[in-house]
Amino acid sequence: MVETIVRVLLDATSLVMILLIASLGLGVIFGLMHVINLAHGGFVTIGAYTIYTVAQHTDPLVGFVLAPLVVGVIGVAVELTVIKQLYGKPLQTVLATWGLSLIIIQGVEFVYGPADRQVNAPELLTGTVNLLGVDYSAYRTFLIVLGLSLLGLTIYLFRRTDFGLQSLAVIQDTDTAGALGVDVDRINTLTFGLGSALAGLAGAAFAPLATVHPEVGFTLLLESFFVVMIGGLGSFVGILWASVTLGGIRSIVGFLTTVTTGQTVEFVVAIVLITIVHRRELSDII
Amino acid sequence: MSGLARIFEGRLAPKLGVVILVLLAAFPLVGGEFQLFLLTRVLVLCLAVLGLDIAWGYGGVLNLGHAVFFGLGAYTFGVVARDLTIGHELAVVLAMLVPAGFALLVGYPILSSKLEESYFGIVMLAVAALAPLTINSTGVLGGSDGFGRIPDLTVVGVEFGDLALYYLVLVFATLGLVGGYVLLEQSPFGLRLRAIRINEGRTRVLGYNPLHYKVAAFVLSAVVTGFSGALHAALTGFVGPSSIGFFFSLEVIIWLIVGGTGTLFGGYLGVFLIKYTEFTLSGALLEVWQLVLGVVFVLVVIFVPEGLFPRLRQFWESERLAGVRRTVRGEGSG
Repeated sequence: MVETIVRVLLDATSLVMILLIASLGLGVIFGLMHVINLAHGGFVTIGAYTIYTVAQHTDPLVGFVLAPLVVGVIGVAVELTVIKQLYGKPLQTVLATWGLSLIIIQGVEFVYGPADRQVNAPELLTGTVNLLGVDYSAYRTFLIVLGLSLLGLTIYLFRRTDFGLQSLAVIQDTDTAGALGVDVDRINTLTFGLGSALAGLAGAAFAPLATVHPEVGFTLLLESFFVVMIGGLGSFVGILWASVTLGGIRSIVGFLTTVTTGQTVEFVVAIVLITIVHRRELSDII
Repeated sequence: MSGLARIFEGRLAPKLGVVILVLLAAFPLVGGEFQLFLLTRVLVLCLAVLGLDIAWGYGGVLNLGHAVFFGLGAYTFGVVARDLTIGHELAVVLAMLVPAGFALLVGYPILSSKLEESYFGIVMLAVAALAPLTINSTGVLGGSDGFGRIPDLTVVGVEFGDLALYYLVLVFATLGLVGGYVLLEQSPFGLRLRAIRINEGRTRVLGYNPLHYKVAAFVLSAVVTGFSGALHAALTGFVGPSSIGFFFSLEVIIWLIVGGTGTLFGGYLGVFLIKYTEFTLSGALLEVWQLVLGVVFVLVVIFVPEGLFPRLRQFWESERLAGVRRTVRGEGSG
């Protein structure tokens, strides 16, 4: 009984970590840069297909390096061609990136076909480890370590490094940052690329746990938007708590009932939380 | 009715509209059965895109999950018309009331928060994502296969065959445009919606609660779209989860954006252009069609964000102004 509970909680935690990684990426792009990127789910999908392609030829572990690289480069290309023209135009950004995600889904389907694909966990991580007294999947344990490390790294990057400082400066006051000698365009491109790379990594991390298909990133897209809207724009710790809340609800309700019920409850709770977090002051309504 | 009379006063677009209407009315004389079906379907979809324009173009409520209203209308009509014996009149009314109730239920609490327009769109996208998921996994309403054998529309004892349904849809598509023009461009309601779009804070200070007007536009959008869904179910005799999912939502958005938001006619133009391009495609081209559509959409959003119809109208009006200037100069009075 205790073992089952521990297992369910660990399963939930490892799924929360995938949500956390995707949301960290969106936290950079949407939370910091205020770019409403609906192609984020498409980036997750490309990451998943990257590790799938790698797994056809060699150890999937390579995919964990390649997926963020590939998607990061695509993100840089997207920033240079599409996003750059739309800074300060939120509605057009929403539409253009939503169109972009259609292009990604259809492009992936054109190349790989609509069928479900399977990816095995890297060989190094196929066994089990002893975690909290139960024999637990090494791969899922790895996800927990990966997610928390990435959270730490992201916070470190934006709090303690020159790149992070410049990036925050550009976001806070583009003109002043530019006047002080920061290469604004370069910083914007790199920050967007970084967020995209995290989405790619989330896709690679998710692939061995699920079936890979052209719309695999769609649910993560919605979930990570919810996480950033609830956790607060610009707060990485807020993103952690929101990921734990939403991912936890989904996994645990999903375990107790059905997967669909889990997702439905998660979305309903998310929407209610969003309206509470973003509620108007009474003086605004009257 | 002074609004109606003013429509024709010295403007090209309404006159052109009448020409198009006459051509459409004469279409069954030349078009075959299948052509007529396609045209009916496109006109039904015009009403769906009109619904989105009401919410978004006029109400400023971005709805990325618009298909929910269409699907609710289609499923409601389908179930009632097939399984219940309460008459199709009531089925159509229910197909408008159910989406309207849903719009009120979802729209009121979310719109009363201070979420920005784009965020509301994402929330609606999530709602639209849940609907087909629920239908697919629970197997209610035919599950992922949908269900067919929805009878032909029968109103006051008259059964609407292909031809009659075509004219019915044509009448409603026209009524939608004219009614939309009177309500959204000419009436005080439309004026207040425009004021809210231009300056929400100031409109509130003037004593109009923006929330009520936005919710009203959102609910009206649901009514029109639900009606469109009911007509679609009656036309095709079939309802499936694809009518409620996010792909269809995106399609409607693409039609509206390509045609032009906040113009009423722009959406119609978008549906006709895109759907008829799709109908002429075959083979390999059809396979990459959605990819092409995505590329076209992104290009339109970046380079022609106001859509095609406003561009065309601008062109007509500049021609007309040039004509006026020529006349003025020729007569030597100014």
